[in-house]
Amino acid sequence: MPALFPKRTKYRKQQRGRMKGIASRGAEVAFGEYGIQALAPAWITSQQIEAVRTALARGTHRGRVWVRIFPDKPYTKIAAESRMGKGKGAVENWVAVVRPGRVMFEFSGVTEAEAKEIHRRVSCKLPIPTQLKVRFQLGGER
Amino acid sequence: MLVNAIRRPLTVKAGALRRQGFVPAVLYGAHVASLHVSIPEKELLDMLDHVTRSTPVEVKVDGKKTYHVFLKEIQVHPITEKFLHLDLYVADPERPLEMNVPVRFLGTPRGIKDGGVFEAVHSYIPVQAVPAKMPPRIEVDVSDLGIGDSILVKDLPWPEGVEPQLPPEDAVVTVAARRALEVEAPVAAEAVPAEGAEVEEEKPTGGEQPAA
Repeated sequence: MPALFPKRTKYRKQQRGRMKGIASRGAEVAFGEYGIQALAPAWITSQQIEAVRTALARGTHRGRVWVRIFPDKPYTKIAAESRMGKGKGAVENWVAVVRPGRVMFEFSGVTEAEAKEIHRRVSCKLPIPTQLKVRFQLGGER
Repeated sequence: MLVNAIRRPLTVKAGALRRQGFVPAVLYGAHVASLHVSIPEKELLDMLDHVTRSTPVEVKVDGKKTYHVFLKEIQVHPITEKFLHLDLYVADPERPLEMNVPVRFLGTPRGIKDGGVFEAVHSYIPVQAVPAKMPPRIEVDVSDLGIGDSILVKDLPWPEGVEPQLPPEDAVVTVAARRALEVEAPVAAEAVPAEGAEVEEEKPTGGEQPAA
């Protein structure tokens, strides 16, 4: 059972869509000090989001965590050993569509060394390469 | 800070300029006809290492005329973090303008040693001032903050002629107790856990009816 999915949706099933290009929105660290940024397109499942959230909450025991993606896309699967045809399969899981550049998670309240270690642990929970992104500041603002 | 810029013909594409080690920019503002310029990337990086968003910068175009500008917009590539483009704004010296001034926090709050969490509510504060009085940054000493303490906008040392554009009772920084903090999901709706049930079983069978 997925941990996260929408309360209600207008339609039960969706087409798959494409993930071309880079993220035009949500590509900056906006809430915390550090962000986990996607470097490849992917469907991030609600279980993966939950696993990362848990890892972040444990890693930043003194800090704060923001989850900036939400799995609002259902994907379907045809039951095993069924013949082709007879319509689209049942909803199997929920995913968030992520394109390169998207800052998926943010956190704060840790040192830079701790942030690097947290990123190393979190990247094991995700199906795509990621990078640790620091909030953008000019030299005189640091 | 002084930076040299070269006027650029619009026949040269921005991408070609970037490959040659320049950053395209546009210079505009009060009583100035807008100019398309390019700035050597190395010189720009040196400059950006020392300024804030509210620091006036001198730009010398073609080695002749010097303009006093503010960095109105900085476009950065979302993945490589390379500078793509700058908006250089020539402000009217007589007219007050509104800018986001960065806040620099000095010291370590004593509440952190007691297990609190440092929370910068505002990293930038919008202020209104004439260009000559625009502060490059606001410095705040936070070393005396205990758990539950905050510094409000009205507590900051505002220079004369600088008006903050936030309510005076707004907190700029606070030290929160650890338990009060929870994971936030700014873009997420609330999850609806349904024990032992598959996702598809929770949804009505009608094609266009709301799903669970």
